[in-house]
Amino acid sequence: MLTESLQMRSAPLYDAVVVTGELAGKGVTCKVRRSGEEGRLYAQQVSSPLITVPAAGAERGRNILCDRGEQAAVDLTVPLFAQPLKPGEVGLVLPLDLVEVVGADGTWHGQCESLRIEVSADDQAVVIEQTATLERHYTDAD
Amino acid sequence: MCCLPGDDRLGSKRSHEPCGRAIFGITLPHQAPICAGANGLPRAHLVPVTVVAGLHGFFGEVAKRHLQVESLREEKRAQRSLATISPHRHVRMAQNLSVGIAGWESARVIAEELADTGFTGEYDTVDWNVPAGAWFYDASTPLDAISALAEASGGVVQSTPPRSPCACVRPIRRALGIGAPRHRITCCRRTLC
Repeated sequence: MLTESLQMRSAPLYDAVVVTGELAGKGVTCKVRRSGEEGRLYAQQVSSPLITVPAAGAERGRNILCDRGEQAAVDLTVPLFAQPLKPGEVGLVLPLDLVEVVGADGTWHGQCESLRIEVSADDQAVVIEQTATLERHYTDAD
Repeated sequence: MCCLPGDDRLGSKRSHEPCGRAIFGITLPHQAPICAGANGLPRAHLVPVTVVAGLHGFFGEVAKRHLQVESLREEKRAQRSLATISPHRHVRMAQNLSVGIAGWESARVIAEELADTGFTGEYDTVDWNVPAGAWFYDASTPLDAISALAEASGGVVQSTPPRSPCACVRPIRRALGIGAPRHRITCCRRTLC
């Protein structure tokens, strides 16, 4: 790992949210609650004219309720190696990939939010590095 | 290296390729030193360019894509910067995406990622039809329309999923805990090494 930086953010520990379609007679309204929790702290209500079936509303609510607690956007810069990878080498990390990071203070998991690949050529050397922004959750994950 | 009209070529000194979970096309700022080929480069927009770069094998796929010069900007130190943007979306859509969300495809891809990890992921959205009059997308591109459908159910369209033959919708966030490492990053030190 070449560089590591992080930006902290936090959100209340929502455990419920109301997701609703906007149009009467066509949309549906869903109260989504995290299983095993009381469902008292509501996230901001979300509406969309496309939420016309409960399954869509439930999944929208599930994603909203995942965005809670202590989080960090972690930027990791690592060399980008070609396939096949040798032990210890890191291949291409794509957005939405789940990434396991083994650090000095333990192992944690994050989801890749974005990626930036830098290629530079100086004299005879070509250096390829990738900077992945990982979304790390401290409250609900490791 | 970029092949310009007339088979002129630009040597690349530095380039970077950013992408995110909500980006379909790729904006590829490309910085190249002025050479004979660059002198003949027109300043007009939408000049077809074929990127034939191949570095460590990672840009092989790019080699076949025809990009377009979106803008030219002359920089100091006798360099020009080419900003290129792909006009092609590179999305092959399953037929059922035209009327709904291919949730089954998402579930399959996620299940493959989570295999043998001990983690589980759920994304239970099903295909659904939007009633007439509930929504219109006259001013949107087809991909914008599909993205809106995905967003409504908490998902995002992955344009070129590496293990899927068609575009699929994946959840923006997993039902945590997050799991399923496909990549492992090992850190020896937390600072520059």
